[in-house]
Amino acid sequence: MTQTPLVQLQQLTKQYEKGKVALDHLDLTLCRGRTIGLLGPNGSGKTTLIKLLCGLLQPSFGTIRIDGQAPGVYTKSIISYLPDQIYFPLWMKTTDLIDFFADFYTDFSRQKALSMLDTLSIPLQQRLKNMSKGTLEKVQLVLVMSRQAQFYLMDEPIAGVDPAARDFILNTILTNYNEEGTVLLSTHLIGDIERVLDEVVFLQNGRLLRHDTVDQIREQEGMSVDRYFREQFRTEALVGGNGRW
Amino acid sequence: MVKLLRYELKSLLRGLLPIYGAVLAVALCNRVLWLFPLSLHADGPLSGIAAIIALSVYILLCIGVAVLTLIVIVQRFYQGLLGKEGYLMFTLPLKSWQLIGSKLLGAFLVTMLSTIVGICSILILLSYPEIYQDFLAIHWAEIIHDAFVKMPSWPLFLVEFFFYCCILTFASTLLLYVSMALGHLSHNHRILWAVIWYVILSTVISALESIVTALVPSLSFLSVLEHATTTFQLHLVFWYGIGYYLLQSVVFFIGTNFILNRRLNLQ
Repeated sequence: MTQTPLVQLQQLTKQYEKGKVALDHLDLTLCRGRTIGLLGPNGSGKTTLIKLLCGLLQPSFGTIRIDGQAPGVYTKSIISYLPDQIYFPLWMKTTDLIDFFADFYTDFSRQKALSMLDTLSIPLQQRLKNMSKGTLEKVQLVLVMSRQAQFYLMDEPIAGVDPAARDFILNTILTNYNEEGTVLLSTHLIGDIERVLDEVVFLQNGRLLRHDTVDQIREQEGMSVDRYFREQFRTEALVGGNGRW
Repeated sequence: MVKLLRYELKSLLRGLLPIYGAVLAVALCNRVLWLFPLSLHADGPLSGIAAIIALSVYILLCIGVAVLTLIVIVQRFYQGLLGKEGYLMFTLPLKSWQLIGSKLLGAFLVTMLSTIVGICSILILLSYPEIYQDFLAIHWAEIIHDAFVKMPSWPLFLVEFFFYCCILTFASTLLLYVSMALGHLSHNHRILWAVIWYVILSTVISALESIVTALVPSLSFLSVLEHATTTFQLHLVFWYGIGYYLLQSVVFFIGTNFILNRRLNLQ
């Protein structure tokens, strides 16, 4: 584990239509070799931040540097992104997707993908449109984790799946990611992922509430991260999220 | 780029190959029915109805190929870059112009293929031995020789016409692309806005053409054609058209690329 920064955000702001601010002057530095939880209630700006890092959204203000560069061809070559929805063309077969990833990502391991798919008994010749949602999510995860990326960005990877599938997803992430790389996982189901995290980034209304190591939070607050999260955002739920009663 | 084009063609042809097959098969059915030349009149009502139905189906399928080609081209750009699939395409380590370029080349190739399929179906319909015999009986060598004597550069006209058709296809496709990209800039009703932008851009282009030709009549295409008296000037007419649509293509391509590169907001 090193303390070399991989991601540096300065005054990062994203404003949508009608003045809705999703991220508000966010300053954040993420180091290499870490597993980081991006935590916050719905609408706190987690997905917006991930999409900005991937280059799928453009910032309204501020700068993003990933390995010293603004989002572009280079940063996309080192980021492995798992979105919160199925984004593959459904007419494709699993084998088509493997070819697709192998064609465009030099860090993709076909052997690793085939091995994981075999373990999961996912047929290579089956079209995606004939698969269940759960199987599709597994295929996406397998492909994303079969890359030796420097930065894994995962948007709600365990949302909407049963506890057994959650364990599978977390184990797949933990046993397959590039150890020199950084994993940023967004979720609001903290209890399930707390055990795998080194650090947490709390977002609230698009602002950074806290960025700390899991150990530090436990030590300083005398409670688990899950409990701490509930304590922090229980107040917000009571006041309606805008600081008004 | 070649890899992208391969995936693009695979995706485009998936929707078009069945209708290509249907057009060629129905053309063949029509040809078989026409083997009985009197069927419409003498063989009773059933064969007559069959021939009319087969011909109607053929015409509908030909219209279907044209419409479906357009729909597939629009759909592949919209869904492939501005829909959910955009998450996959825009996270590839590629520049946005490469994504647009592959879509454009794919669209161009399927337009060509649809045209070729249409021509082939007509050739099937006209596949009478007499026609081929007449075709072969023509003294092509003499005709070509005479053409070279009268207008040595006539093959160049064919090349120019081909280029003109190609660049016109590029400009028309890129007008669709830039309209969809502009529609993507709005926060709501993006498809509706894409249609509105298409109408606005088409109207603006027509208005600009009218204004320019009203101010400088010698710039109008018809005027240039009327005043072309030499072969060289006739060639210039083609290059004039090619240049005009090339300019449109470049402007639309740069516009689309700027929006997808600097203003992309996949929500």
